[in-house]
Amino acid sequence: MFRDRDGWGDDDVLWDWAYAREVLPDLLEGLQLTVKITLLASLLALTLGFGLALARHLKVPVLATFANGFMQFFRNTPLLVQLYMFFYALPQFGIRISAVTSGILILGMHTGSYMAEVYRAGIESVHQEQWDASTALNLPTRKIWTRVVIPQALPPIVPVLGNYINEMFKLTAYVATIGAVEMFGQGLRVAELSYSYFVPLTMVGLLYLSVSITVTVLLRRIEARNSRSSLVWTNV
Amino acid sequence: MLSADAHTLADQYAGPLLNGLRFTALVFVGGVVIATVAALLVGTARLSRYRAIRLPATVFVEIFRGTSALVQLFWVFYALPLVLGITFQPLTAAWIVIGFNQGAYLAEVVRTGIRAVPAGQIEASISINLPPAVRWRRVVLPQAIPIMLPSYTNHVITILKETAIVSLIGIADLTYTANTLRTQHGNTTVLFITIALIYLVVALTIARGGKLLERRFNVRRPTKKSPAAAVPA
Repeated sequence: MFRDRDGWGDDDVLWDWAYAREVLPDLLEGLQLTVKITLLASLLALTLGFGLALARHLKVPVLATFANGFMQFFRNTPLLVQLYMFFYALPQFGIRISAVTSGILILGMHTGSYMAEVYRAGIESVHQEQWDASTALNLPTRKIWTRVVIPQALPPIVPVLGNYINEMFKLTAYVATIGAVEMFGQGLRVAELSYSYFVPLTMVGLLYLSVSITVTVLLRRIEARNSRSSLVWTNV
Repeated sequence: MLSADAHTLADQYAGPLLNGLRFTALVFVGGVVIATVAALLVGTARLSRYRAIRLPATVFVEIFRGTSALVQLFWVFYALPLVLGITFQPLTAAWIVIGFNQGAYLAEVVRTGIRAVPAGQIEASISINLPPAVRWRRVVLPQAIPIMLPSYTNHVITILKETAIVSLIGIADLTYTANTLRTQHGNTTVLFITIALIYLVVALTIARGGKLLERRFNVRRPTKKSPAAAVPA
């Protein structure tokens, strides 16, 4: 691991395949943690975002104001500062949370604040007549939401929510700044061990790129299918 | 005494934080300029009828949107010099990365904004023989800009937030300063809340400015409803 490297690799070739193969397992191990962080933070963001949107939509007294302030904070301050605040300030109050957990919580709250607006758009896209009809049918409030509103509000926003998850996948790199060794953290660690930044950092970039482009293509397909089905719906 | 403490704290921290804010502003303004120029060039290039122009623009967008600005910053600052044989000043690297990263997102805003201008408008300006420059200045852009503005404002706020990463390559911006003061004096909570509030206030000011611009650019168009509304009941 501690081979002498000047960044140009052996025989002054920029791209050293042997070295690339050597560091790949470390980076893939990092990718596993990156995916784990993304999935857990997504779960939090999807739930929290819906909660925030609901509190604001229903104008729940104290909660709606809190939701507003929460979203303003998370949408208008740097992610890096949010991470630092959480990771360095909380221990002063005796709360110690690991870097990975902090990352999951902050990314979840950060992205959830954006998703709340997406949910809002989805809820508002449900026509007033649907609400009126539900009331006329004397449906209980819970049923109106679970059987009428959500089934219509959700499908059009699925690609947008997916897009935010894809954005968050890239943002997981920020968690390396508080010491989590996910993919970017692994790349930096490997690079510092060998004093060679080019190969590991380029590989990290390509790995992020391949995952996020794949997800983008998949989302575009879902979107295309969605718009086809909504076309059928309007024809009915 | 709490108030006396607060006073000394403010005296100690105001100077350095203000200095940090100046660097944040420097990175921010450069980033906005580069992002805007890149977005206009790349966004229109993606609409070109020539594949040779479209393709590099698409590659630019996919690459700079495919990874986070943080990874790009480290790549440009630590890895790219090994290829080019020249090292970047931290500020140069910061401007390139933040400008190109958000420029890629904004290029899509430009592209969709221009595409949203009805084709009939362009066909009409061709049929009345308007020169291309006039067509762009008087027909396409005045209709595309109001469409682009809300997203543009959002991305300008993102640029402000992205500037925080330059602290990691040693630029003494707001985040860097707060972090240094924290390691020297503690007071972590106060410092981070202070800079978070500064970022928040600047971001909300940008949002307000964007709203004012939107009102300025939003030419009132006759809507389908208005003629009916004019008819007395």
